[in-house]
Amino acid sequence: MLYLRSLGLTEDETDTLLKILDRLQGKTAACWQYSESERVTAVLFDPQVEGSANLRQLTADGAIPIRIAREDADSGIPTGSGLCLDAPIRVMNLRDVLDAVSVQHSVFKKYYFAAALRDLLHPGAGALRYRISCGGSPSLTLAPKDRTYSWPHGIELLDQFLTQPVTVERAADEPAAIDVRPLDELLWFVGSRSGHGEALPWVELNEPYQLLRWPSMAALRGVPGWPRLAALWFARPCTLRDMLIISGFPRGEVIDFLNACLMCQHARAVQSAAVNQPAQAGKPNPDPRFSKIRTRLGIADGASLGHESERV
Amino acid sequence: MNPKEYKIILTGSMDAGKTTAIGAISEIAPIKTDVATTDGLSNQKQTTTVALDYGEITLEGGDRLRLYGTPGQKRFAFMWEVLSRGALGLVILVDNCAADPLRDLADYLDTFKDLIEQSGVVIGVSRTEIAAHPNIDEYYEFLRGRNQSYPLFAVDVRRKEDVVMLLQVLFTSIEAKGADPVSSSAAGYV
Repeated sequence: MLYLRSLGLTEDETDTLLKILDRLQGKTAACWQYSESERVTAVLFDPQVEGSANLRQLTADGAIPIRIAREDADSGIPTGSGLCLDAPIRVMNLRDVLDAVSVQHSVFKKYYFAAALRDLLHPGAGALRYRISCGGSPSLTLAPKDRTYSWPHGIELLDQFLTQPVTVERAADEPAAIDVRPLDELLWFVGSRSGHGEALPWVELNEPYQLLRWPSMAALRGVPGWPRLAALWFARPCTLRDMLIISGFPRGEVIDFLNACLMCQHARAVQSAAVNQPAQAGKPNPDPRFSKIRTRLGIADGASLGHESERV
Repeated sequence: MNPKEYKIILTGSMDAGKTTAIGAISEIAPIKTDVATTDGLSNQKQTTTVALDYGEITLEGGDRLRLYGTPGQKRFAFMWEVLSRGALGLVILVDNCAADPLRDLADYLDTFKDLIEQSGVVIGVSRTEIAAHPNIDEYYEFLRGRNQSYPLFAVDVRRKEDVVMLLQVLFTSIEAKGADPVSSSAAGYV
């Protein structure tokens, strides 16, 4: 949920803003709500309050400023170094500005691509297709409702999307491209590689999580220990701390796995009451019978993942 | 010390690929016992496995892993209980092109209930590239509706790496289950 506040608008303009925000529910890339809080995602302000202490405080706390443009009548898109919105406020202009804000908000969060995907996959996001580009690279087309994406190269070439700001545009509802791929493949790639061993900003590490379903086989092949992590988190809800105790795996590997599972919506937070105390669950030692078979079939056992594991 | 023998059961609907899966990892050519189909399914498949498919893998110290593919036809169900005695675990293969793959899955889960409880199970759904529905989410939803949760994947049993991963998941699931003396099946989602 992203939050919008106004500063210096007339009563009529504020009323209009609230009505339009209501009409835009489900039609913007991210879900927006009006708030008078001191910490908001964006602040829509009248030029008269520019430089005021209130505005300075809000922007210092991370709010993205959107200036009401009372004279320049043909703009509703980012101009210069900031964003502006034509007065009187119109539905589609506000939608475009809010979508631009949600992308900028993602950029500010450092995890450019992961954050943008998370916003675009929000149930309230309205468009059928988005075009995402990064620097001079070809663009990727995302079709959230079809759960597909298309990208003309191998997924490894999306690496630059993980480290640079991305630009998101609504795409025309074109026929599906030939090279359409399952969205989970993209989400797993982005989720497992964006955090570099740290939790993505929206992942609360103290929550107990449980896997609702297993990641795909292709995803599990990424790191030798991931099948074991999946088995443990599928069998019981537990927090990161508990999982580190139970699995004995390095923190970074476990967090990357959790980031990816949450990105794909394979895992969810569960109520604390459903969580076993870690002391009740012993560390699972590989069964010697299975170890023999694993050795013969060339399967990494994953139990002693340690720092020797490498992505393949 | 005498060499030990281990057993894994592969079962599932006709055309799900049990024979192919065994062939993908067995070190001997699978022994097949296919004969003409006689129970009204001949429009689907000319021959089917009436008794067993068999493959094997030699392990360290001369131990042996035996792979048994069980009959896909319900009239041979009497064999399944005998076969599953002492097995390490169960692999269920579901043909997504079948008339009612969810019903097929339910039948196998019910039939092998004891083996699943005693050891473990992994489910592979084959031919999803031909029939997209039910999709994997719908299978998981179906299992949740039965108050069950088992590892389940889209697989291509012609690929050795997929069959090997099914076994890896089966083993890790059984080991994880053994690590958890308190059932966690009743998690409440928030």
